Amino acid sequence: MRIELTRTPGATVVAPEGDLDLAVADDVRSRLTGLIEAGEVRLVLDLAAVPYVDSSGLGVLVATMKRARAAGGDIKLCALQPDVRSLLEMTRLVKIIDVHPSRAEAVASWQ
Amino acid sequence: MTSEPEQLAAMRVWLRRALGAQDVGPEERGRLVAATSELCANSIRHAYGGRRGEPITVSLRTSEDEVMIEVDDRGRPFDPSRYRPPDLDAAPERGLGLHIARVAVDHLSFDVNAHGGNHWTLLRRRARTGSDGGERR
Repeated sequence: MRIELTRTPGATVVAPEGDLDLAVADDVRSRLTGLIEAGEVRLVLDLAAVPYVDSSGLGVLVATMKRARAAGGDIKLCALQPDVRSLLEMTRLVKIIDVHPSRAEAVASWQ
Repeated sequence: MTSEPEQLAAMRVWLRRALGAQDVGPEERGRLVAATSELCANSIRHAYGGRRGEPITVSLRTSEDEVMIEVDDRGRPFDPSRYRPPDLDAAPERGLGLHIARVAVDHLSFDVNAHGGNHWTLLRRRARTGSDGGERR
């Protein structure tokens, strides 16, 4: 899965492209874990180019959130597409993970 | 489809198009695709234990009132007695698939098929009427 990384003064923005599902979940999990282990614990996950996230992908988001929080940071999601938002609502993760409408707002929340 | 995780995206594209052709609206499509994708992923992960190249059949039937999707595999059958719903307040990392399949549709049922594998039936009442039809992948 192609993942674009952008480092801002307040946070690292991670922007995957494509469905975040069982086929790519392990790869994405290890790349996000790598960022946290490298000390990049203030993360913004820009999902503008992610049309779909399945339960494996949601598991990656939760695991990353827990790892980042344990390291003193957090993960913030932004730019959710409708099906992705619907899945976060069905699983109530929308109440646990911080969600912002846009990348700019998510990054600003780290300032 | 066969049991490679990479096949899931193509199945979702096919199902989204097939539902669209039956005038199923975007929100309904999203829910049905999500539920079906989770059941196929369960076949890959649990029924086949990650074995590739094994058959998974997704069938779609629509009527004026409802959409019915059936998912069949020939792997190890689901054991309902061992199912524990995830604790959603505890931010679970696993076990969300069947939860999504259950809440995304109006009715989800399970049976063992003639091949000794899993037979799942999803039903969703339609928000609007459309023509009868069916497709299979």
